[in-house]
Amino acid sequence: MNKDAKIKLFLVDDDALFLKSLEIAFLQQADFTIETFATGELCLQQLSHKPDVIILDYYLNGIDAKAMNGIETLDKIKAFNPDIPVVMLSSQDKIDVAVNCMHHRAFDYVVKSETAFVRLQKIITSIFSFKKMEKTLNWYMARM
Amino acid sequence: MNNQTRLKVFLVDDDALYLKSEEIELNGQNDYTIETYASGELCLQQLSRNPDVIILDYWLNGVDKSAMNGEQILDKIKRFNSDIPVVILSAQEKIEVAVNCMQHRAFDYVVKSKTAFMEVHKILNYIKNTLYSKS
Repeated sequence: MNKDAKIKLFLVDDDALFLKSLEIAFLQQADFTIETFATGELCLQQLSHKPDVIILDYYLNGIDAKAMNGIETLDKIKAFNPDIPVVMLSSQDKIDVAVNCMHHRAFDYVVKSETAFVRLQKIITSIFSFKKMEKTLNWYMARM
Repeated sequence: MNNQTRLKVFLVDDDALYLKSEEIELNGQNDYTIETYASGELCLQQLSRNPDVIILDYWLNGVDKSAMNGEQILDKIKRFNSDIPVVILSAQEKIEVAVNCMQHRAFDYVVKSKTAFMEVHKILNYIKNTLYSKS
């Protein structure tokens, strides 16, 4: 990520209403460049825009019944660049689904609820403090 | 891995009854060498005995109120040897707990239910066939 540049967020959800409200909620916090996608396929096409964080819904087949689900999209994102943190956001509150997403290297898993947005914010903050730590560590390692 | 193909499994649970039934259930397969521990602390003391897999309960303070919980034990095990797969077996059905355990590098997370033993069997088989297959 460039310094001074805004944080670039990708939001992926087939529920247009939820997508929009999420976008508005994030924009009120400022400091974000947001791109929204209704399907995983669209998101994958735009990965070259270098998102800093991707927030991905689990079920994406609300519009196109044959669309990829979140796990497949997650795998493809990780194949493209394993360093992009992907946070799964889903109405699925089954443990199996959550654990499965974690196996597929999601950064975190949030259930869609009233507090989901606050949790997302916290996660994004922790992603960047984590990245900063990693960077500092690399800096020191390079000088060892 | 031991000389034979038997996996050495550590079971950790503060519920003595559950622990015993877990042991009996797994012993029925005759594929595992099993050691059981009533607390995480006891398990940590015996890590030098080189378990191949650890099956760990999440809440361990049923007997001793100040006992460490599964997540703390998990961290300690991973610090000792990050290659030991740890499966969390828990009555906790909260997503946060499960996700948190996965972030702390648990191998898998199983909820205590009627099908829990089946799932554990499946995971143990998977571990046996992939991580410890003869190479």
